[in-house]
Amino acid sequence: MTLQDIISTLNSTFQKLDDAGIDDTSKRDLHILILQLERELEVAAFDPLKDIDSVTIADTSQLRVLAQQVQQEIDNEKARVKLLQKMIATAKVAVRAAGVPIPA
Amino acid sequence: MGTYSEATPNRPGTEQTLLLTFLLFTCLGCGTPMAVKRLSAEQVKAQLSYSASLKAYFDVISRFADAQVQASDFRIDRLTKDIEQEYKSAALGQVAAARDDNARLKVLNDLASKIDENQATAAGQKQRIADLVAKLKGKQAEMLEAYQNIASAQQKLDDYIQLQKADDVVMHELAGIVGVNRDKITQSTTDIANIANEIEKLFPAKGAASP
Repeated sequence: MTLQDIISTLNSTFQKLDDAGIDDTSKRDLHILILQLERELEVAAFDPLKDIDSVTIADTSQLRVLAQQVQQEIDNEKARVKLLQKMIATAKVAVRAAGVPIPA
Repeated sequence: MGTYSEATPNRPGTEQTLLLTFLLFTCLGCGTPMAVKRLSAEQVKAQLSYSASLKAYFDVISRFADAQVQASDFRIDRLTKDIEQEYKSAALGQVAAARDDNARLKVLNDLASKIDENQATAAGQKQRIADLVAKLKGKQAEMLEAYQNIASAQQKLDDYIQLQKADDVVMHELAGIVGVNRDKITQSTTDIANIANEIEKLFPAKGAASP
C-alpha cells in the first residue's frame, strides 16, 4: 500500500465519520493525521533524488594533468619545427653557395 | 661510374634526389593524415556542442525542480495552516469545556506547543526537499564539469593533432626543393605503407606461431 493509498483510505474513513454526524476528538485527530500524511507525501515525491548519491561520475582529474603534458609536447614540437626551419634555410643557402640551383 | 654520373660528377641527379627525398619521406612518415585531423576537429566540435546541450538541459531541469519545490512549499504551507486550524478548533472546544483558568491556560499552552511543533515539522520538510534538489543541482554541476574536462582534454589532443609537425616541415621544404607535388608524394608513401602491410600479411614474421 502506497502513501497515496493510505491517504485515500483515511479520507474515506473520515468521510464516513462526517456523514454519520460524528463530531468528536477522534474525528478531528483523524483529519489532522490525513493532513500530516498529505504533507509527508509532498516530501516523499522528492525521495527518488536520494539515489543521486549513488550516481558516480568519471574521475577526470588526471585529464588536466595529462593535458598540461600534451601542451608541453606542443611547445616542444613548435620549438623543433622552428629549429628545423632555421636549419633548412641555412642548408639552402649553403647548397646554393655550392652552385646547386634550388627554388627559393 | 655510369654515364649519368659522369655527366654530373659533383651533383646528385634529379632521379637520385627524388629517390633520396622519397626514402626520407618514407622514413619520416607524412605527418598527421588529413582524415585524422578532420575527425579530430569534428569530434571537438561535437563535444563542445554536446557540452552546450548538456548545460541547457540541466538548466531546464533545474528550473523545473525549482518550480516543483515552489509548488510543494505552497501545498505544505496550506496543509500546515489546515492542521493549525484543526488544533485551534479543538482548543476552542477544550477552552469552553475547561473548569478553571488553570485548565484554560494549559489548553492554550498545549495549543501554542502544537502550533510551534507543526510549523517546525513543515520547515523541516521544506528543508528536506530543498536539500534533495540542491543535491540534484550539485550532481548536475559535477557532471557538467567532468564533461567539460573531457572536452578540454580532447581539445588539447586536437591542438596537437592539428599542429604542424617537424615531419610536415621537412616534407614541405624538400618537396619545394625538388619541385614535386607534395600530395602525390603523400599518396605514394601511403601506397607504400599499404603495400608493406599486404606483404607482411603474405609473409608472416619468422617464428610466428603456425597452426
